[in-house]
Amino acid sequence: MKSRYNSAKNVFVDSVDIEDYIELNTSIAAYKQLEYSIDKPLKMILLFGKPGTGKSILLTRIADKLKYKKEIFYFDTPSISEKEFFKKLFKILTNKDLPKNTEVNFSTLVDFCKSLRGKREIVILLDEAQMYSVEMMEKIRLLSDTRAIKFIISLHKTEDEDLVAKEHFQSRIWEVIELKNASRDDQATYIHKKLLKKNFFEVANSIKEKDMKLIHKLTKGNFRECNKLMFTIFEIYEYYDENEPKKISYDKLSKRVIEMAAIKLGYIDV
Amino acid sequence: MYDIKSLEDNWNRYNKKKRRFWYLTIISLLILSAGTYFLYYENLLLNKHINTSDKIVKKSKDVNSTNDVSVGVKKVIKKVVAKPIEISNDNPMDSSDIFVDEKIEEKKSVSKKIHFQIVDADDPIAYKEVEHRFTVSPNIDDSIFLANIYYNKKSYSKAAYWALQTNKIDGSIEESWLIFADSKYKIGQKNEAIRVLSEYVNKSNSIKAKKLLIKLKQ
Repeated sequence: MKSRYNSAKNVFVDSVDIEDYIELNTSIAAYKQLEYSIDKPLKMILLFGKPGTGKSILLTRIADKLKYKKEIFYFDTPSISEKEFFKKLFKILTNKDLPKNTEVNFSTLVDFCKSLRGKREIVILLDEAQMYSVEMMEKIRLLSDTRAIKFIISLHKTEDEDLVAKEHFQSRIWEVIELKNASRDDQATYIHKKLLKKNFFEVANSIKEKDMKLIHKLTKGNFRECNKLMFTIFEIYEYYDENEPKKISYDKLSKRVIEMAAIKLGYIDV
Repeated sequence: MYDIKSLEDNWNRYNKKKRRFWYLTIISLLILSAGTYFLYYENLLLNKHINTSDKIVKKSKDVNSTNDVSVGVKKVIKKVVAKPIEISNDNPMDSSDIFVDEKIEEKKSVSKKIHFQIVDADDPIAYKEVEHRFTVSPNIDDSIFLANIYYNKKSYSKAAYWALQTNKIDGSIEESWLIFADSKYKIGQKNEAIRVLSEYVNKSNSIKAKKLLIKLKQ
């Protein structure tokens, strides 16, 4: 028989699946702020935060929610080249594929966008924008100046974010939304909701307040790290459940197992 | 699946390390507490020693006032080391001639039989300690204590010095004025004693000071 922990660990597989979206106080606030900003006459919106703070899932969520209201498109992975990026953009703007062996002429594209001003309002969500080159970001800025396309740029909070902000968009009108790591309460809600959503009531109840405190201390409230830690904890539990059940209690989460998972992931040095 | 055995070993090692940290913290705290207790206890003993000396001096005062015991012991007068003293101009007390030629004191005391004193003049540990404490942290309780001690020991120049120190800190303490004036008188500076005391009488209208002034003028 398959261990209950086998399914529980899969709840924490890191993904940006809209089904996995958990509503927390902070994420609701960020969502509302982003939705409100999209309606404002802004050329660009910057969404930034450390890796694992929920930027991608937020973009996925907003793309899904607004897909019937607006022309909204989510670019989850950065295009390898400019050519590919403009090919994608061409398809969005014209609803046609670019003919083979042809390239988009950038100034023609800008003119075309200008002709759309006031007629269409296209929102493009650019995830992992720190991966785009400086030249590419300059072109994106010029496209946003046409006011036909609104870009929502998601960046990791690194030096790159400063570079982009300083060099390209300093004078542009834009909104900045920062996502931060979760508070202890938010992270506890996140873990519980994730498990309850998949009906793991007993497992959810076995995680007590002090366990949440330790998990928050180890992961610093980062959702991605939290997912990794929870996955590893349940994987260790799965082993014990199947091989040495005497070593674990089903009523409460073992501090020892949490620490073993943290050692495994390198959060604790031995 | 992970190698659980090696993960368990790593956890055991981590747990030992964590426990070692707590043991060291507890031991450090214990050592710190013991050290603090020892210092406190030592300080308590020292205070006890000073208080005992104080009580002995008070007792000796009573013995002097009744004049019931006299022994033929000649007092040993120790040489006082002169120190430069700063005084404010508006203070009628003047330390310029506190340190008189000790021969004067010696002349007076050599020929006289003095009253028996329980305080051992050759064992000034307690006073030295108080003097040292005063140099580190000036305090009128210490200086007036020393003024009284030296006055009772008839070491008037020292008594005047410590009365002056008291006065520098707090000019309103009557005892310091009286000891200063009387000590000055006793070391032969009658005019100075009268001048200082007169100023104090004008300032304070103290009955004790008036009585002493009348006595000094006779």
